[in-house]
This record gives sequence, C-alpha cells and structure tokens, in this order.
Amino acid sequence: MCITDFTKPMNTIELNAEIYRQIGYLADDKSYLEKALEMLRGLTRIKSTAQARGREYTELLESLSDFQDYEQGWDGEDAAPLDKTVIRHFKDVLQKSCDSDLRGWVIFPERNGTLFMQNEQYNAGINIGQKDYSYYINKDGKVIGENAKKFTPKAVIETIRKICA
Amino acid sequence: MCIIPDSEDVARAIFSPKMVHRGQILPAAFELRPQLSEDYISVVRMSFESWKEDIYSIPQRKNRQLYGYAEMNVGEIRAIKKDSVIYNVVPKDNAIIKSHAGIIVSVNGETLVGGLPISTIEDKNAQNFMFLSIRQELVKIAQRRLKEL
Repeated sequence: MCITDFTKPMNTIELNAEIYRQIGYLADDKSYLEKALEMLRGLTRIKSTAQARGREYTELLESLSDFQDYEQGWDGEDAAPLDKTVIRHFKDVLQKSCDSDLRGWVIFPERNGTLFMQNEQYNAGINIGQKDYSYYINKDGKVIGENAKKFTPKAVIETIRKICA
Repeated sequence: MCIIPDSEDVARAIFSPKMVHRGQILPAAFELRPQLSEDYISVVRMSFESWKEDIYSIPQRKNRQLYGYAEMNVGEIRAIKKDSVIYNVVPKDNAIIKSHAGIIVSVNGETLVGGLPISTIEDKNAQNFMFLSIRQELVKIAQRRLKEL
C-alpha cells in the first residue's frame, strides 16, 4: 500500500484519485466494500439534505451528531447518554420545521439524557424529554413557561414560533 | 459567617472537555447534581492566592479531566433579576480548600437542591422550566470569561 501524505491539502482531482486508490485496497474484501458503500451512501444523503435545507438545520444536525457520541458518564460522573427517543423527537422537530424556525437555536445534552434547546436572542429554552417537553422565555426579568407539555413535533414548533414571535 | 464582597471574582472549574462544545459551556456544568443533593454550585474565590492550586487539587479521573474555569463576578451574580429568585455567593471554606465558596439560589425563600424539585437523573422527563431558566443566567455570566487551563 502506498503512503499518502494527508497533511498536504489535495485538490478535487487528487481527492478523487485517492478515494479510488483506497477503494482499490479494499476491493478483494466484500464486507469492507459493503461498509465503504454504506458510508458513501450516507454522505450522499447528508449532502442532498444539506443542500435542501439551510445552515441552521445542518449545524443543529452536526451538533446532535457530536452529542450522540457522548457516552454514559460523559460528565465524569453518571450522566446518561442522549436518550434514543429524545434524539428521534428532535430529528422530527428539525424535519418538520422551516429554516427560519431554527434561527438562533443551539442544543446541549442534559445529564438525564434529555436535550436542551437554547435561544440566546430571546433568552429562552426548551427541554425535550421522552414523552414531554418544557419551555421558558425570560422577558423583562419575568419568567414565563410551562412544564410537562405532551411532546409532538408540531407542539414544539408552535412553541418555537410563540417564543420568536 | 463573613460576607463575600460584590467586587470579588469567583471561578467555576469546568471538568470534562465535553462540558464545552464549540467554545460554549454546556448548561449541565451549572446543574445542582441530584445524586449529591447539592444545594450550592461550587466555586473558588479568586482573591485567595491558592485559588488555582485549589482547583488543581480537586480529584480528577477518567472522563473528569480539568478543562478550565469560568470567572464570574460576585456582584454580577447577586444582581441577576428574576421574579422571586435570589442568587447569592457564600463562603464554604474547609480544611482542604480555603478558597471554597458556593452559589446559592433560592426561590420564594427556599434554597434550591439538586433533584428537588427538578427531575432526577433516572427520569427522562423534561426538566422544570424555572430551574432551566435559573441555571441559564449563571451560564450566560460564566460564558463571557471562560479560560482554558
């Protein structure tokens, strides 16, 4: 196998050649080829989605992907990984929202496996749990919010629109 | 008990590099831990010469490596205005950490305790909105002067 210097930046033609070269090394192993194909298909899906949606959508999806790698005890103690249902809920919210709904929002994992959406501009937050969600908005030193609201993607999107109205 | 003057700064140690994402402190770094029934958020007083050594003396282990600290002004913490919520910083010095202090939050005169009334660590339900908003005010102040060690 030839050694390529990956520290040097490559142009598109060189990258193309490198991909073919690396696939060539795997060409005699069916299981590795299948894995490579699956990964490439995944990238194609991400590319087509990213093109269809705005920067906010892509950045939130990237953050979610980072936080999905947080394992049990990620805080150095006993923090839970992001709950699978919560991840699904958040992806549903992303998919059913407009790009303008997502403007200004960032996400963070919570120690109990839930997901916190934060909007600094509106001084607001939404916490998505397995079955429910809570939200607050801080206006002129007064905190308005609700607890234990039944989760549906539509309900969360309506809350986002209420906050950002 | 001595009163910490408003002019003092305190530092909140940030453990685990995962507590900072793209330069932003995770709100979880300012949570009262339910499993310890914490009733204050630990900080060290930067007016003590030993404050940095005191941070380093806090035990580290796998997944709990010291990332850095966030500087916060005591007066700024006390000045947070929010309905019936009062923020205070009080000394919590002990034989090992002389500079130790704690941020105490009370709602309607009742001191907040980790896990009460917020959801417990096992509970996958959304957390109490009042708690989320209280915590966020501290994160906002901390974010401005986050330092890596």
